[in-house]
Parts: sequence; structure tokens; C-alpha cells
Amino acid sequence: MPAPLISPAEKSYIEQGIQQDCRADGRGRLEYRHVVMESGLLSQASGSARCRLGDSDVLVGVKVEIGEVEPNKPNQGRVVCNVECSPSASQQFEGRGADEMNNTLTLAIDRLLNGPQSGLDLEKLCIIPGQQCWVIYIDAMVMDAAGNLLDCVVMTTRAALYNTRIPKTEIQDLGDGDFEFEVVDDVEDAEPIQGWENLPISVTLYKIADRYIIDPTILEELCSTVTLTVGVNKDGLVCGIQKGASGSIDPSLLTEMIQTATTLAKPLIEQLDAKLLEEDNKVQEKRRRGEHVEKLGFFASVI
Amino acid sequence: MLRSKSFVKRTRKGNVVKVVKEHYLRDDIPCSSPICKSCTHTPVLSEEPKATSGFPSHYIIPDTNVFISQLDIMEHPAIKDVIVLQTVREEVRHLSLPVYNRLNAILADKTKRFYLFANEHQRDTFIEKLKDETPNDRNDRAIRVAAKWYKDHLKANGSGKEIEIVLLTDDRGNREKASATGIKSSGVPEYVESIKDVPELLDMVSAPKAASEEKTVYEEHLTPAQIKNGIKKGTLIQSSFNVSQHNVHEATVVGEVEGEMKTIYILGRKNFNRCIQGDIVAVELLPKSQWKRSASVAIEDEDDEKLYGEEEVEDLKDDPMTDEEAEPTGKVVGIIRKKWRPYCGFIVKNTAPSQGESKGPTNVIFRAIDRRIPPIKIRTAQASTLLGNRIVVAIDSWPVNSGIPLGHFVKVLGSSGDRETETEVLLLEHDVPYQEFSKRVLEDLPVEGDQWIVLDKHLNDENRRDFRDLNVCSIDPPGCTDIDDALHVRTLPNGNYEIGVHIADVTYFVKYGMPMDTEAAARGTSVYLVDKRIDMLPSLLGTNLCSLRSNVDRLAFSCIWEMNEDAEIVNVSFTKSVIRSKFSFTYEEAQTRIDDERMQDDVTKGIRVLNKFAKILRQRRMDAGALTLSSPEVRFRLENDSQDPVDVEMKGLKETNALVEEFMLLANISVAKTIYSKFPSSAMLRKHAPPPTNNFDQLRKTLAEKGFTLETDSSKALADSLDKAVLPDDPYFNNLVRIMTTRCMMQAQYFCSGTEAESDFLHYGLASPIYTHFTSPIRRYAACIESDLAYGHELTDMTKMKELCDNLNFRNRMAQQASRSSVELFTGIYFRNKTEVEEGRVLRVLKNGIIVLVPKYGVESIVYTTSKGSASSPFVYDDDDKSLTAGDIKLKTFDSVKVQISVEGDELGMRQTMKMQLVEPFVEGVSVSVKKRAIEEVEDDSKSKKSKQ
Repeated sequence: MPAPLISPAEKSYIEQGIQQDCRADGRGRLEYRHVVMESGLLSQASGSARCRLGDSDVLVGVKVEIGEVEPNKPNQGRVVCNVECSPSASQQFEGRGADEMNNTLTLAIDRLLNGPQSGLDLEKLCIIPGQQCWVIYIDAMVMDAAGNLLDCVVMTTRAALYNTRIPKTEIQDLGDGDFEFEVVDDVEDAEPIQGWENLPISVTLYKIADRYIIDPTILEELCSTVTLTVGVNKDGLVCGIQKGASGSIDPSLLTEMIQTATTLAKPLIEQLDAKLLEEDNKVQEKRRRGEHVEKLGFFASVI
Repeated sequence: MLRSKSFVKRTRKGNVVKVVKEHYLRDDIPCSSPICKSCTHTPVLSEEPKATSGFPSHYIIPDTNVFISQLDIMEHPAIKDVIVLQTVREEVRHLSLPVYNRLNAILADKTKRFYLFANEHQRDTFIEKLKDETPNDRNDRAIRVAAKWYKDHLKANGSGKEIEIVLLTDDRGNREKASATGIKSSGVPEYVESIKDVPELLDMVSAPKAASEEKTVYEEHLTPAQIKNGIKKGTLIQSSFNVSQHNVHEATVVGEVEGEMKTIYILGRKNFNRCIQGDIVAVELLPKSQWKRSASVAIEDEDDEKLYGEEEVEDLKDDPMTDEEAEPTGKVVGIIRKKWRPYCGFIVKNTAPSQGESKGPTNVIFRAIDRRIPPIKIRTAQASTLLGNRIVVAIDSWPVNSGIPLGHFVKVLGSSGDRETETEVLLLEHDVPYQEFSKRVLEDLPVEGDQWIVLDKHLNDENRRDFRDLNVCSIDPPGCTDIDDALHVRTLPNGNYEIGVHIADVTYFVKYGMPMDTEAAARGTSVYLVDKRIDMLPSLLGTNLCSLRSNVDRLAFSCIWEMNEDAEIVNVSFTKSVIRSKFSFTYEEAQTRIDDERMQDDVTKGIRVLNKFAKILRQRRMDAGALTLSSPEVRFRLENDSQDPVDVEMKGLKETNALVEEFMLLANISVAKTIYSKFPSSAMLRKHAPPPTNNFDQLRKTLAEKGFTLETDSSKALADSLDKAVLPDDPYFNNLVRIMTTRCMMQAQYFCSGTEAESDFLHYGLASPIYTHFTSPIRRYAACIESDLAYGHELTDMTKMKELCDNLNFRNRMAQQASRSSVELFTGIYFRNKTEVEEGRVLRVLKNGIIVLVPKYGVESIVYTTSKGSASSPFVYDDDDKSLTAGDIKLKTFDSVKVQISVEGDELGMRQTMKMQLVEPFVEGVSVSVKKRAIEEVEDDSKSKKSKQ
């Protein structure tokens, strides 16, 4: 990927193009790049997905583990997020260069997913109230950074959580208020995460000059003075807003941007859901016939 | 082709991990049938497998449950040409490890022609699990797919020959699905019935699970998780379950009660809750109001009605008393590990249909020789032919709604009462490996056989010292063929003495790790029975090459001390050596030499010196607090031809016994010290833990009444108080006290030095801080290990050594019990058709009887004080001074009584029991008068003759 530098001439070219609703790669202001998404490609993980958004490439693995409940939420499970930018994704991520980006992204998806706005039924993750619960560890790996990383990470995480299966547990009453549970060892006999369909995706709007665009490339990101990330769920409801970068947004523009984000998100979620379901059905159909299921895995980048 | 398999498992820490394994498929896995020309293989299966009345020539493919529940049938020699699918073997492994091991043993047996077909790795028979399919259904389908493949494969490649495939399964659903795809299938009972020439197979079919609508007799067991939790929290006690020898309705476990290790009583079958002698169980304590306060009752044979009627499981209830000294009682709430094994026993006569009645299979009751095992219900068609024989039966299940467990017939051992059969029974019952040595083991013997001699290379190769010129001699019991120790003594120039103990160097022939060593380690010890010996090593070694016979060169391992005049050790060294024993003395011969003043040769002088030193050593040991214990041992004099016992004598001890013993002890202690300093964490030592003081409670009480105090604080104190317990007018009294003290002792055990604290190494009985078994390597595997260690080889790590110690302890205990049972057996034979009146001593007073020891024969038994045929007794039991009183006659511990000894075969079957009845003091209704008894005897005889006809 190119170094994160931009010349005044390039900047002016991009800005003027955006004014004309015509971007360097030929897209309009509110158009996405090509999306390739596949779920369930890591056999060891409880759930996984990989997504390429243009040249940005993110792999998310979800692992469910047994943990102690938090004392102030005795009947809820937890979600723990971690985003890591691979040094291979960009020169700027070498050494400790990725730390800031990792923190920013981790914090952003944590805000979006940890809380009632995520739509996940955290109480369903509790195994024995006051004692043990499932903890969902989300590990996102940025393998190629070509702009719009946050949206890409959120989208992939959503697909990975859709793909996640939590082993079933059987709780036994030992008397005296003591409980013990056993885990069903069959991987097939597992449950999806309750409420995954309510998970929001994020739409980040980048303000360039006095217009805004979505899904920028690296160079376009460098032209942007301010960003606005809006978390939207399938019902078009806003689940979170976060402003980034140093610039400012006029209140009237802010309303318009939020409005735009919600209208853009709804069809995108529908499309993604349809894709995931289709993929899942294909897999199930093959399984029903007893055929072997092969995943595309890392060939996805070739397509 | 690569596939992956995954499953979820919980780690020990409680976390959940998903495990993914790679799985490869191949196309070159052979079918192993000789008629197939397309597979490249060396066929295991037969070209013309057996046909039965129901099926033409065929191979069998059994499903998992067939192995789990009908293993005895699969092990039967009549079942051959079986294809064991990998799916099945894996499932068996998950369900039961013992079954899995037995299955592997069958697979290894070439004559059985069992072929393990790796269907999970064969491309055409591997199947993916379908969505929503349970693992069980998937495996059943895999079995059917494999069966179908076999059928098609044999048809296509069979070059015209036809061999069927029969799927063996007791699951009807599976059979229906199989026939839908054109595979022949059968249930085990139907299949076995179709083998007409081996009818006994039908008896070996295990009992089906009982219907569930019957009322439940026992409480359900807790779930494993509940048990685990209960044990963790201390509300449940985990222990092995021990049924009392005297009362099959009383069992004990050991566990912590109120912070103290105590014996907990479990009373009645209901509280036993379906566990069997030896099981590891979880026990819940009963509330204090139900604790045991009365003395133990001896129960002879249980009331038949109660036992076989199945409805009733009696509750033994004690009268509530306000005595503080109640002993804790509990009930079993779960079985942690079942220790079921095949049991030897007999069919109870009156449960079997009389001859001529229905030929079909009937339910009969089986009773094990080990009376602690409950009766077992089995189904057999050959009941009338099995009567009068010793048979082996295995337990299948014990459902909650059945009063007694359900089982199936395994095999016939032979007719009861027969000495050979009975000996085999007792070997089986004590798990003694008594088979001939296998070919692989015998191949390890030196090729020269009994022509083997000591050569110069033996001297040079291993730095052996040449002691052939020394006056070495051995002292052993008469008729001893496995001489494994010899002694020598000589004066050194500085006036000190050099004393050597020479132990047969078994490790020269038995190298660590070779098959003979593995076999010896498994056997652990030689087992001495009255009429024979079960060797640990092949007899070429035991009685010849390793036996330190006189006037032949033998390899030895020598322990050499330099001692001064006062028998203090100046120096000790160990070396491999070559010796040439000059004399093999019996104890008696050696004793004569010591006593005979005229004998003044070097050897005799040497023995005298040894004897002198032995006395000093012994005194020193006694001063340190070593115990002299006693057990009522007897030796039988056997008739030469029939091997029937004709006379009994008490084992006598000569001074020379003690001589040899003393030096062996010294050698053992010296070796123990050396190996422990060399290998602090992996030395094999032997300890004898001090007995808990409450073991002595009863004995202390009874002795106090005789005016003696029993100090048990240390072995020294105990030894002293035993010495003081002498009644001048009763010479046997002291012996009796020692016998009773012996029973309060703990078992001495082998252990690995790294697993215990040094302070626990103590050998209480010998009053030695450290001890091991270095002597007698021919009959003790432990001694073989010690020789290696003493020579400086570290053999194995701590964990392996611990396993080895556990096995040796188990084998030793079993060997001891087997010898004891053998003595009992011969005592039984001796008293057959004989009635004797002998003097006996009361060992213990029970509520309804006394336990009497007859010193002359070393036998002990219960003498019931209840009148025949009724529960009432002229005797009144006094719990305070543990006595029984009838009129002016009072029976107490240590009392002398006269008893009549006879052997009775019980009415129900074949159990020969020694019976003692009171003769003196005479109490009406209890005691027998000798004359009357003699008449009954005659009647009994004529009866038994009639029944034989």
C-alpha cells in the first residue's frame, strides 16, 4: 500500500472530483467498493469471517470461553474485543506503529458491541447466575489496510458472530444451591448467539471539503478533515455515533449525515444477511447430503 | 484426501476448548478376505468361514453394544472370522477401557481371526455426519455403510465364491435399516441360537435390562457431578467398600468424620445400595440418631426367603440408646468405580429345576465362593448339568428394581470338592496369574538351558568378585529348591569378622525391560500353596540357575560387612560375585551342627559365629522396639500320591531360622540405606506404618480385665507390654495376645521413596527407620529391582516406580490371601468325614456368638450361641465387658472352650464350611454332646450317598 502521504495536487484533484460526484476510482460519493465476504473458514474458532472491502482485508475469529461473571452483572455474559493491525498491512504498522490504530479500532467496536445497543442477548450467555458465563472473545486481524477499516472490521465481526456456535451446556443441580454444568461435546449440537441479527453495522462518513463520502481509499482518508461513524441496525435505528478527526460539523449537516447513514445501512445489512444466509444454506444442504464442505478461505482475495 | 473432525471438550481447569483433528482418507485399506483378489493384503479372515443354521458361510460385523454387553460371547473360541470396525473399537474405547483392552487382546489373538477394518480411513466407507444426526446414529450408519461395502466388495471381487456379511446388533431399529439396504443382520441371542454345536453360548448371553415398571428396591445413585461436588465439599466420603467376612450385611469404609479418620459402618443391603465388595463408593453419613451402638452380629447364611424373594431388602435398625460411644454409620449414594470381575461359585441347588423338567432356559441363583458377593441371578439352559460344578459368572447389571444383580454364565471350572478345581478357584479368586509361561518369556532363558555354567567372561565382564574359595553355605527349610540366599563368615587379619550375605543374581538373567522381566513384574511374587507353588520366574531359573545349590558355581550379589567382636558394622560393601556353596543345610541340620560339640570344622565354627552375632543383632533390634508377633500357622503333611492331607503340625521355629532371618534383615536395611542415598526419589523401599491407636481399643479393654496394660505409644512400649502379658498357668496366653496384636497391625507396603516424606519410611514392626526387600529375588520381584538399584542402575522414574509398587502390594496381598485360602481348603479336606473335639480359645465375643481359634489346627470360626433353628439364645450379651452369660456360665475373650470341629457342605450348594460347635462348657440348647452328633453324622452320610445316586 502507498505511504500515508499526499501532495497538494493530489488532494485538490480528489476534492474537486468529489465536488463533481466522481471519485478517482470512478465511484460516486455514496458508493461502496466491491465486498467479498465468507464465514466459517477457521475450523478451530467458534466462529469466523473474512471480508475484503476493496483492498482492505480483515479476518475475525471468535472464541467462546468460560469465565466468571462480573459482580455487578451477575446474570450476564461478556464480549471482549481486540483489533490488531498486522505489520504486513502497512508500513506505518511496523514496530509499535500500529498501537494507536489498534486502540482506536478496539475502542470503537467495543463501544458498539458492549452494551444493550449491540442487540446481543447477554443474559443468554450466562450459564450459572452469579458464577459462570460465556465470554465471547472477538479477535479482529487487519491484514491489508486500504481505507475504511472500522466499517470493514464491524461488518466482518457481525458476520463472524453470525457464524459463532456456543456449545450447549447441561446444568445439574447439586443441592444446597450448588450447580455444576457439563458441556455437550458434539460441535454440531451448539447454539447460535441470541440476538445476532440485531447487531449494528457502522457507516463512517468522511467529510471532504464541504461534501461527505463513504468507504474512502487511503488517499481519500487523507483529504478528510472530520469523520462521523454511525452505528445502525437492521431496523434503521441509530445505535451509536462517534465523531473522529480534528474538523467540525455544522449541526444541520450532522442531521443530514446521520440520515444518509441510516438510509445507506439498511439495504447493506439486508444484502449482507441475504449473502450469509445463502452461504449457510449451501453448507447445510451439502451437509444434509453428506458431502464434504470446502471453504474458499484465503482464495477469497483472488476473486 | 483431508478431512477434519472436531469436538468440544472441557479441560481440567474447567475451560472449554474446541479440538480439531485432521483426518486422512485412503484407498488402499484391504478387506482382509482371502477370496478377494483385488486388495493387496495378507488375509486375517478365513477363506471358508463357518456357517450356522441361520446363515450361510459368513463374516460377522458386530456393533459396539455387542462388545460392551456380550464380550464373553465374543471371546468364546467358537466365534471366529469377525470384522471389527474402527468405529466400533473407538466407541468401545470411550465407553469402557477394560472392555477395550480385552477387545485388543482378542484382535491380537491370531487363532480368533478378528480383523480390525479401518473403515473411518477407507475412502469408500468414511461418512460425514449429517446435519441433526446424533453421533450414535452416525456411527450406526457408518457400521451399516461398512457392512454394505463389504458385501458389495466381496461380491465384486470374490471370484465366484460367496461369503455373506452378517451385521450383529441387538438394536432392532438398526437391524431394520440394515435389511432395507440388503444387509443380513441378527440379534445376538438369535445368532447364538443358530450355532447348534455350541449350546453353552446361549447361557453366556448377558441379561437384558429389566423392565422398568417393577417397583424400585434401591435408591437411585447420585449423578457423577453431584458425587464429585459432594466429595469436594466434604459432605460425601470416597472410599473402597469392604464387606465384613463375618456378616455380609455389614460393611465398612474409612473416611473423615468430624475431622478424624474413622471406620464408618454401612448396615444392610439397602444402605449398600447395589455396590459390591471392593467398589470405590461415595458414602453419605447417616444422622447421629442412627449410628451404630450395638456389637457386631455374626450372620450365618441369610434367610433364604428374604434373599431370593427379591422384594425385600431388609433394614437393620438398632435400638436407639443414649450411649455416647456410637460408631458412625452411612449409606452408599453412588459408585465411583466398579470393581466387578468374574466370580467363581456355584448354582444354588433349590433354585435349579430338577432333572427332566423343562429344557428351556431358566433363572437360577448363583452364589460366589466369596461370601461377600451378593447372590447373582443368571439365566441358563444347562442348570441341571451345572449343579455340583464350580462355575464362573460375570455380573451384567444391577438395576434399582432388582434385589440382586443380574449376570451371565462364563465357564465351568470343574466339579466342586475336587482339589484341582478348588485350587484353580482360589487362584482365580485372588487374581493370581497361574498360566504357564508364554513362549516369548521362555525365549529369554539362556540358550544353554540347564547346561549353563559360570564362565570366565562372567567374572571379567561385570567386575564380579570371585568368592568360590570361601566357605559359603545356605540354610533353608527342608525340601527347599529355590535357595536364594547363602552366608559366609571369616576372620580378618585385624581380628574383625567379614560376614557375607549372598543373594542369587537374578538380574543377570532377567534384564530390565525384557519380556521375562515384564512377566515377573506382573506376577510380582511367587505364590505358595499347600500342595504347589506358582512361580514368579520359569523354573529353570528359580530352581536351578539362580538357586544357590551346593558345589556348583553360581552368580550372586553379595553384601559384605566387616564387623567387630560386638557385631558392630565397621564397613559395608556390595558387589556382584561368583560363589560356590559348600553345604545346603536344613534348619535342623544346621542346628545339630551348632549343638554338636564334636564338630569343629571351619563351616560349623562359622555357623556358631554367625549364630552368636545373630543373637546380638536380635537383642539390639528388640531393644530398639522390634515386635515379635505371632500367627497360628500350621503345616500339612501330605500323602504322597493323592496329595491329600494326612496330618497337621504347628510350624516350629529353630534358632537357625532366626539366624538366617537376622542377617537377611541386616542386608535389607543396609541395601535400603544405600539405594536411598543413591536414588532419593526413585528407590523402592518398604514401610510399615504405625497402627492407629484405636485399632487396639478392644484388645486393650479385654487385657485390662486380665490385669495387663497395653501401651501402644511406640513399638518399644508395645513390645514391652506384650512381653509382660504372661499368665504363668496358661502358656498359650502370651501367644494368643500376640496373635490378636498382629491383627491390629497395618499391612507393610512397598513404596517409592520420592512419594513419601522421609519420616514416614519407618518400618514399625522391625523398628527400623528404613527397610526394603533385597533378599529372595527368586520369589520377590521387588528384590530384583533392588539388586539393580544397589548395583547403581537407575531404572525408572518416580511415577512408574509408584505404579510398580502399587502392583507389587496388590500381588503380595493376593498371594498371602491365596496361601491362606489354600490352607483353609486343605483344612477342609482334612476334616472331611471327620469330627474332632479340640480345645479352643475365644478371640472375640459377638452378640450372638464367639469367635474361637483352635491352636492345634490354626483354624478359627464362629461358634453360634443361639439355639439351632431359632433366634433366641440362652445367653445374654453384656456390652460393657463384652461377655455372654447363660446361668452361671460366662464366656469372655481369652476363655478356654472345647469345640467340636466338622465340615459341612451346605444344603444350597457346594460351599464347604468349617463348622464349630460348643462342647464345653455345656449349655442346654447350644452345646452339642459328642455322641449325639456322631449319630447325625451317619445319617448325613447315608443321605448324601442317596442323593449321589
